[in-house]
Amino acid sequence: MRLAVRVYRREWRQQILVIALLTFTVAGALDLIAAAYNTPDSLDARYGTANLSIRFGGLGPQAVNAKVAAVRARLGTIDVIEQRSSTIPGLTRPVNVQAQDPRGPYGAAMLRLVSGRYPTVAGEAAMTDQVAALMRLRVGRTLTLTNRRLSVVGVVENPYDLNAEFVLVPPVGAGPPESVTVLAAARPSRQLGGFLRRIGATIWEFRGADGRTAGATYALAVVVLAMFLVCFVAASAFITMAQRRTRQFGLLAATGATDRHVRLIMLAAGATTGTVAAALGAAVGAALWITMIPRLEPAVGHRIEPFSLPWWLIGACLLMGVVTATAAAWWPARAAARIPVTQALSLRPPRPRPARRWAVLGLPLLLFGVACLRLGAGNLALVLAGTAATLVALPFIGLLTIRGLTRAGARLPVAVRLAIRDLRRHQARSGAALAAISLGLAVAAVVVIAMAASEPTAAEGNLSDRQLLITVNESRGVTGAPIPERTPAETVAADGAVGRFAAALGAATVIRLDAAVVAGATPEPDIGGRTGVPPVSLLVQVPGAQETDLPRDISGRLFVATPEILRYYGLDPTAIPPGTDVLTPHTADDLLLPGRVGGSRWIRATTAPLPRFGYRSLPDSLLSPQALRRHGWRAVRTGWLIEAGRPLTTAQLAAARDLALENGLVVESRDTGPPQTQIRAAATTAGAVLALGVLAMTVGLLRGEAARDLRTLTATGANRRIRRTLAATTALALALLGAILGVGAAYLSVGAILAGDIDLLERVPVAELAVTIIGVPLIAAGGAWLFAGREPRNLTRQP
Amino acid sequence: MTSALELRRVSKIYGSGPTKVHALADVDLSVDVGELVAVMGPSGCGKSTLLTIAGTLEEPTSGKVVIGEHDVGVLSRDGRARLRRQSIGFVFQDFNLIPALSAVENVALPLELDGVRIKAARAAALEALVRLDMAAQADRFPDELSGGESQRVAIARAVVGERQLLLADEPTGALDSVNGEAVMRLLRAASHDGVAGVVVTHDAHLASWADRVVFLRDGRVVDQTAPRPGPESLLAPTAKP
Repeated sequence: MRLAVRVYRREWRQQILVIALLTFTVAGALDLIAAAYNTPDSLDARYGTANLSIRFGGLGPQAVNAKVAAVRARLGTIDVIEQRSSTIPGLTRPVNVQAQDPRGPYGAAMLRLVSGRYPTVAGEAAMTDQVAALMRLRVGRTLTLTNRRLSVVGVVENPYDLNAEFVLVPPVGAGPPESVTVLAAARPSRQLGGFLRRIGATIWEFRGADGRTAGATYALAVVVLAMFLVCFVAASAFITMAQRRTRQFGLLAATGATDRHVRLIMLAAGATTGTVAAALGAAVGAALWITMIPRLEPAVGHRIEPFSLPWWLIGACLLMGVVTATAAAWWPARAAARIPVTQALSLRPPRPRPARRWAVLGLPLLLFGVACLRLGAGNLALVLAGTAATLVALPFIGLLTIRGLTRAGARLPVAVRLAIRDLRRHQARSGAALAAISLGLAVAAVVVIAMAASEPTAAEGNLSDRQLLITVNESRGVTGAPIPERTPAETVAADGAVGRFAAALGAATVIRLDAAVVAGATPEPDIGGRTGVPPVSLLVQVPGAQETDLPRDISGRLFVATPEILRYYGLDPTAIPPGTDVLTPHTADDLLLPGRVGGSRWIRATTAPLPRFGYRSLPDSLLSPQALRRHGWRAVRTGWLIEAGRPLTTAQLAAARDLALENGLVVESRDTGPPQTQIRAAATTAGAVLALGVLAMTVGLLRGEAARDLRTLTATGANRRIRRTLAATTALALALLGAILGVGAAYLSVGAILAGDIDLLERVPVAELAVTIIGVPLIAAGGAWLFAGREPRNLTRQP
Repeated sequence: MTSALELRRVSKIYGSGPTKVHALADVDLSVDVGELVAVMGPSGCGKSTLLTIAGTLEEPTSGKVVIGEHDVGVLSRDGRARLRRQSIGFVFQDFNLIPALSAVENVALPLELDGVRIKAARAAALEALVRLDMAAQADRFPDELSGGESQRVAIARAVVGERQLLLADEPTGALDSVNGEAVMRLLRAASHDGVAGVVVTHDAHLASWADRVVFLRDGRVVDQTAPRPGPESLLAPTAKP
């Protein structure tokens, strides 16, 4: 062990590349795990430090107090938070007023003082920064709230939900609440449920598992993949180290060292490299994490405690850094220990052993991996097994392809032939490098291929790039959400504004969308605080459901089949069969519509077919005007579909958003999703950079090992072009094999997962794949050609 | 006699300042076509440097090297490489066969590098191996050959084609006495076939195979003498003086 440390101290500089790579990987892995752990919403936002939340609503103050007292008597320590909405002069929407003790036993964690102090007596208030900005208030000013004047004493926030906007008042003299939330600590039990039901609790929920640990665990799975990749790169470096030390090991063995001693020296180098990299990675990762937090908090919507981390996962990650480096050193250690002493002393490398047996393992492994991925839909264990088997198969298949290339190149010019044969001669190193290259490019290709497959075509998506959907409220996408009632004047104003906007677009078509609503229904509060009426929806009875189960809404809301929308859809209004309730592409037998108020709850719908359109935000089911009259429903203007003559420009979309803001409307345009082009480009670039980095290291090492041959070649008359051809061929062969293997494995994996929708693979990301399969090998070959012309120095001495 | 190799006042200095080493100092040497010259001297006297400069692997710090009709000093790097491919053959102590190439491919290497088609190069290489009684080992790889066999392949590579100059750096250093004698016999035979040869050796007995022995000390030629007639001279009807 002492010898191992001494050897490492002398030769640690040779490991700088591996240490840097591993440090970077460990640091990135730590930050990924920390971010994945802290990104999901925390349940602390709703529970504080409690595990039970009970809500009472719609009761008078005395009744609420009695119920709270009953809960306190049953559960002991509780924390009471009162809520009410209050209007503020000048604001169209009510603001949430929360009466809460900032030092409450459970709710204290839900409050954080940003500036000033907490309100303590009646007549004082604190508020979140957004509310303060909206009302142009700051500490010391006065807030007028529903005819009450409150002195602003502080700015607060819910550290676990930065999007929560509220005014905080002390519980004392807060006035009657609209609802009360009681936080408590209790175990779920049937008796407790019965008790809460008896006292009339509106909702009670026990704290469930949050997604933090799951997110961090998934991140760890990504880290395992990254470490696997790094392991191959590190193995390549350790093989070089072992070969440089061959004579040293021979001397050690000659003086009595056993195979175990030799192995230990190499393994100690691996473990030391891993430990140093893990320590450096932890330091770099911690520094990065601290600088990331202020940028991450607004994005995730809650405060992040720097040291609120999954420590066992962090520990596992650091351990993995050490294990990766040690594992990378294991194979070279084993190989070095097996070299006969005389061969080691004479510096004659052992004859390469045929890799056929190992290589043939690759094919069954690959088949097993693909089969697991094919059958693994919804089964995480199978997906993980399939991914692991595919990854492990790549290095073995890499060895096979190197053998195949050597055979195929038997008749090539001598420099090319020699370069290819060197790949086979140094197959331990070239195989490891090929595995790292193909893995890196495979991961990048999986991202690119999967994104290309998921990218909607021009005929898919929510809307086309020439369409705009303007609607009256933001709860449009919520199933069964009430439709806000607008005055006739508001509707006329909105109609006029939309018409003017469409006229400004040029040759644009405007289709007015009228939703059917249940006449005579009691108005209900909307998400935005306005009252609304329930829409008429097309429902379907779920097969196998109980009688008491509600049917499922399949249309959202039904729009009236006006002549203009039918014409837009290419349908003849007179062709609708008489007695038809709904035109719909849905073909279920028991499609339902809501019944009359006071009558039966649902009625069976009479339907006629409507073609299915490619854009999912367009109305897919239409209610016939006859059905509207027959069922006594009424039509409410809820939206406008605008179709321009050409794709909408950014300026036109901005103008549409301004129109929506001014008229209290919501605008929807084509959703292009995440920036696919950038993500695909980033994945391709990352894969290419990794592959080129590995190639730079490997080609240098391989050609360095062949320096003795280079001396012979030069003495035999090889010129600069031959030397360049050797290096360029080495780089080209490795890069090309890596790219073909990587992209092939990626297509196999994605194809196995998408087997049901294999057509999606027809969307070939040509540019990115061309960069991977053609660009990377050409760049690698070009770089090697440029740097390899130098004549070997000290030709008179043995390298 | 036509001179195949001529070194005129050749000096070679490595390093600078306190680490400056005069590997060669004003060396004059001329080797005729068909002549075998042995270079002897203690370790570090500049024998290998002399050989690599004669073989155009290194440039002298001063002086002139002429191989056949070519002044090496005026040749470009590519020109020197072409000269090595076409006119010079090297034999090293440690054989320096390329492990990834078979024996016949190693021999064919200079021809292939010179643009000769694979088939023709292979035929010429096989012929060279036959002359050295190595045809049976033609398709073996270097790690399947013994030391003596490896050195024969190296000699075949050095004489294949139309070579004028054969340079051997301790060609028998890694061989036993029997194989060493055999190698020297082959080199002698090659020089009789019209190739000028320079052999660096420590072994005075093996040097006796040469037509002339040049002694180097501290980078200078301190003596040039015709050696005692070697064992072969007893059998040769016209032994050189």
